[in-house]
Amino acid sequence: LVDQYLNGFLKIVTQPMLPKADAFGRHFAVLRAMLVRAVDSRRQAPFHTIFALLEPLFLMTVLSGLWFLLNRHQTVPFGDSVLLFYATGIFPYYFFVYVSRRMRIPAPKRRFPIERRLDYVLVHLVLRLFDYIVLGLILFGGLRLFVTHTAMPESFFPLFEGAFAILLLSFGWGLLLISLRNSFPLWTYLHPSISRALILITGIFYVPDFLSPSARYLMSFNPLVHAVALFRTGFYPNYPTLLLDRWYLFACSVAFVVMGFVLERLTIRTETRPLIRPST
Amino acid sequence: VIIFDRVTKTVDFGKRRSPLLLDVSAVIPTRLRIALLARSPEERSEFIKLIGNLSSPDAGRVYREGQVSFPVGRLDGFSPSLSSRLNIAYLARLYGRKAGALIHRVEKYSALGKRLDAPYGILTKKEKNSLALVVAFSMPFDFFLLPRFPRLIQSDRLLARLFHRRMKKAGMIVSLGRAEARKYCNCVVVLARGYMFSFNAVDEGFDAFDKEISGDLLRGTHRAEAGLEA
Repeated sequence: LVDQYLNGFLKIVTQPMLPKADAFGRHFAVLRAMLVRAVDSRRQAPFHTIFALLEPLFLMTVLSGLWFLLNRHQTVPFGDSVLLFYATGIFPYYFFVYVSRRMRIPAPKRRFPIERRLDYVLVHLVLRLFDYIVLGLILFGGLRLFVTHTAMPESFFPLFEGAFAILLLSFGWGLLLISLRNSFPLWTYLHPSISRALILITGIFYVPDFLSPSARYLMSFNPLVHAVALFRTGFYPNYPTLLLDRWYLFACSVAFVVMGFVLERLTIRTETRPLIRPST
Repeated sequence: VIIFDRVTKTVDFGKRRSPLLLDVSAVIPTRLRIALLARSPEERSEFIKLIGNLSSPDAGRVYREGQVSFPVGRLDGFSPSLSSRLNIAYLARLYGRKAGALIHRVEKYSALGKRLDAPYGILTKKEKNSLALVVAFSMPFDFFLLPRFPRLIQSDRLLARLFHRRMKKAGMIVSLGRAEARKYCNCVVVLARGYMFSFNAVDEGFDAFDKEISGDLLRGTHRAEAGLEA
């Protein structure tokens, strides 16, 4: 048996060396293929995407309608238009929710070996970013045309800064979610409710700086509060920024991304794939 | 070439785990048609998943030089809502091939005809099986992984021609019976209790596997003797 082993085609190797020069190009081709397929799927069934994008618009319209019906005698929380105030809060919040929450549905278990879990996440990220750029143009363009001239941002830099921070936060948070879903299956079910409840403590319907100091202190731990405030300073130059801490926001965002990547790598071996049924 | 560098892998049998490979270092050259034998289907499945990059080793690494196919006989990554044509184009782009050329080849060798434009999800099981084989053998992989031997090759003339043409240039690992192995394979790999044995003669490999079933294969064979030490 030993002779058979040694004379056979299996040989002992100590230092396998393989060329890996084309690895990057191949990975890029995989991402491109997945992106093209995602676009094809959307073209075949566009309503899913349209409804997902309509949700923040619907919520904003309902809230503004309620405000007009119930509180019309009161002042707007900030600025001259309640629609714009809600839009500047709901838009970044939904951007976070839709990038991160959709990641909890990870890559399908039945897929080609060349497709990695992280590839699905990256494709999802690119598509959502594109969606929200289009939604932002439609939403704020529409508000500028039909509601208030203040819907044109005063400064684009804090706007992009806020959007970039939210992108990092949601990406990192999403990676953490998909990495931990095997270890904490309950979290998969709890997370949607928690992310919905976040809307109440993110300062979307009110200005957090006008709250009591103790409430403000507690809210300051939520990085989304900072991101929404930063986003709003693009539209309102005099928006209160007592609570806003850019350093904390970006530190949290980077920490989430780093932790997400580390956990994604650590849990990649535990990802289970279905059994291939060989002949018996 | 597929290289196992100190690979350890266990198979989950529900309540217990059994070692599939224990610290195995080995080279599997391409262009070999290998019959894969192991005690249980789970072990064979896990080994194919390991080579196909569908599963990671518990320790060590598996290197692949050249392109290894996805498990032939199933198109897991196909989207049921998209047409087969779009799915095939996707697969071609995924593996860096020209979509038009692959679609043309599939049109030539499969009997689907206009059904290629129907959503993949509505195809019958038989149509899916046939498409899976045609698509896989239409792609110039260096190494094909066949979890089960495709019997359709024996009845479908076009598919058989495609299969034989591909096998002239590429290698394969396939799980199949002795009679078919004699016809299609030129060597055997036996997986037994953490060891990986190779045999250049098919019958010899099957005889050794029968010994393994009766418990004789490893009797008196120490780990160092089997050449598996690093």
